[in-house]
Order: sequence, then structure tokens, then C-alpha cells
Amino acid sequence: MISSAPGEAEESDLVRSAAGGDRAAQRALFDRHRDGVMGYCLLACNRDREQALELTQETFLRALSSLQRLKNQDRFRSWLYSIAANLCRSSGVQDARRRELLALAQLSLDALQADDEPRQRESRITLVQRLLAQVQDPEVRAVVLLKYGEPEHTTREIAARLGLPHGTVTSRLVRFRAAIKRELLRAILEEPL
Amino acid sequence: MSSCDVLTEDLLKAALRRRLTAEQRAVVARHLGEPCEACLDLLERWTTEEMITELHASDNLLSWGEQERVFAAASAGAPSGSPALRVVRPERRRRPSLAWGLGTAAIALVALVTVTRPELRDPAQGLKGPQRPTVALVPFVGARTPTPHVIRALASGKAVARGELLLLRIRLATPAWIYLLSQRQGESTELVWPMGVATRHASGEFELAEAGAALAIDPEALGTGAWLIVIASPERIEPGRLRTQESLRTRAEVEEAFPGCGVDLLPIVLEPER
Repeated sequence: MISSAPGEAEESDLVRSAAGGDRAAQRALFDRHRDGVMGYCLLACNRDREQALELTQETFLRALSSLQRLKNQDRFRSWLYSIAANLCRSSGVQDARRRELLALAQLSLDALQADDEPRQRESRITLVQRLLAQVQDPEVRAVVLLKYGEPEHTTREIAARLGLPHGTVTSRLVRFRAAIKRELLRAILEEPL
Repeated sequence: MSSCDVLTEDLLKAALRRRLTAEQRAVVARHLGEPCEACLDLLERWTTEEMITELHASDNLLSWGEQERVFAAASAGAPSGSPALRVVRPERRRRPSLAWGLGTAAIALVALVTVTRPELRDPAQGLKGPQRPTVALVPFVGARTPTPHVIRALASGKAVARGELLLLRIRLATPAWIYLLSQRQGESTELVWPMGVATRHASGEFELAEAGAALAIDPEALGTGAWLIVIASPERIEPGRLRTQESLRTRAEVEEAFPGCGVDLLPIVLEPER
């Protein structure tokens, strides 16, 4: 499994340096996320490798060329996958099953974007509600609704609003994301081979 | 932390790699619909990126050469601390396929040279004998007017429009002698670069330039179906050996023709004439 190696530069620091024109930082960001983005694009275009390669390139091109516009450097990963998701969505026709699978992957990657189309936003809310139906713990439900509802709240805002320690909020979200991954895995298993 | 009797780490990997039987898939899928906390414990330890990467065989992910090309393309539009890339109007010279820019362009190009990755090694290389260098050809498309300049990186398999130029960046993991060859359909290979005496290059990234001038290639002079071939040799190669009548269309064919050398190929694809 991939994990952050000790001593690796913080992603937000890399993003700041990359936005300032530091090629090594741009490369480090690319190396960190290239397999994930390519994997996502392969999933999105039904393993059409050429198309996935093109989408991966376009994703990084757009991301690296507009880094200076990214206000919250901590959200680079989410933002990057939002770009990939938007590109994949507009690149071709996807059947309902694939759209569901990608919506789960996108949610799990936290690839949310404020300027999503209304239709996308609606389907995301429906998906979150469906997943929430499986969650009994009222505390988790409250955290999730603030995180994925509108407007989206940061974990610190949620902690302040619900009067919970920040660590509790993040651990509740980690649990909910595990539930999303469970649904994602189920969708993958139900895909025709 | 509890462990699940149905979904184990190994089974999860097998599921993602699509190595489960239909029966196993059905059992796991059914179980995932149940509120199993142990499954959530397991999935908490996996990132979504790991899951979606695991779904694809490693050869479907980016190869080393593709990584270089994709990054070169992506970073072409990124902010840079280096001077802007500028290639001046090329003039046709003795070889119709080549055009040379001014020294300033080469300086700007060379200023883009950055990271070296000496840790990269060709897995095929053995322990004995000279090291086989690893090389990647990173192509850019340039426009001739109003002044010649790079306009985009060339995506894998994409066509070049009529009138556009090709500019090449080389990424080298170990020091080597570099040779750029072209081969038109049905013809023997031709040495494109270096024009003068070959020298050994240090590992890193550099543009093809000579005597302070940046090299631009006119793809129309080569035509669709031609190939550009870069050879990274651990030893100097005599010019005569670089000329071969064999048709070199795959990495394996080039490696066979130039044993012990690292190679990369770029097919020339021109947009059809309107």
C-alpha cells in the first residue's frame, strides 16, 4: 500500500513551490499523483489506454498551469481529481453503471467542486443520502451532512459547529469514506469483466 | 481492530485485480452489502488511489517514457522560473528536414534542464558488461510564425499539423552518447544529430542543439510513416554503424540493431492534407 514516507515534503508546500515555478516541486506533485490519475482515467474510459493517457496529460496540464489560482493548497489532491473527473465526464458517453462507479470514486477521492453543474451536484447529494441511509450513528450523520452538504464545511468549521474535537470529526469522516470505498468495491465487483 | 471472515486483505487485492471467480465475486459483493465493521476497518487502511491503481495491470499505467512525455507536456504550460522558450525562424539548410534557431534560443532551452534521476536504471540491464542507458524522447510542437516558438507538447500518437515543427528534448538517466536518427519509409536510417563530433552526455534533461543553435525538425520533410529514433549508447558509435537498411519500427528491432543501447522512438504522423 502507498503511504506518505516520513520526511516527504508536505503537499501544500510542494503546491506553493510549484505555483512559483519550481520545476522540481511540479515534478514531485506529478510523480505523487500520476498513477492515481491514470488509474482513474482508465476506469473512466473503460480501459481505453490511449484516451486515458490523453486525459491524464490534459489533467496535469490544466492543474499545473493554473496552480496559482488554487486558493487552498491543502486541497490540491481533491482539486486535481475534480479536473480529471470533469475532463472524463465531458470526454465521452458513459453508461449508467459506469457513471455510478465514477461518482463513488469521485466522492471517495473528495473530488468536489463548487462550480459543478447542477445535475452533477444533485446526483452527488442523492449518492450521499443513499450512503447515509446505512449510517446509524447520529454524530457521523451530522458530520457527513455538514461536510457534503451545501455549503461545504471544512473539518474545523464542523468541529466548531458541532462542539466536537477536530480529531473526532476527521475520524468520523474517515469512517464514512471507508463506507464509500465499500460501495465502490461493490460497484467494481458488479461490473462485467 | 477486528478482521472480517469474508473480506481479507488478500481477497481485496484479488478482487481489485479481477482474479476472483464469479462465485467468489458474488459472495464478496453480497457481503459488502452487510453492515460489517471489520470490512470498514480494512478499507480505512486503503486509499482510493490505491484501489483504483490496483485495478489496472502495472503495464497499463504510465511507462517511464510516457511519464516524461506527459510531464513535459503538462509542465509546458506551468509557471516557470526559467526564461521563456523561443525558437527563431528556421531556415532550410543542407538537410531539408532540419532547421536551426539562434544561440539565444538554445540558451533558453538549456535553461529548462532540471532534475536528474540517476537512480533510474533499466531493469533489463544485467550486472555484467557496460550499463544500458535509459533514454526518453520528449517531443514538442513548434510554430514557424510569427517567430518560431514551442506551442505544445506532442501527445503520444498525435498528429503534427502541416507547417508545424518538431523540437526534441532528451531525458537521460545515465551518461551516454546520444544519436538521433530518422528513417523514412523504405529507406535506410539517417543520422540527424549530432552533425559534428559526438560527445558523451551527462544524465539529465537537455534539448538538441549544436554550436549554440536549437534544432527544429520539419516533419513534412520526413512524411507520415517515418520514425525518429534516439539511441543512447554507453560507447561511441561509428557513423557508418548508425546507417542501416533494416526497417526499425519497434523498440525491440532498434535494440536488436544497436545492442546494449537505450532507445526511444517517435513515429511521425502528419495531419492529412485538406
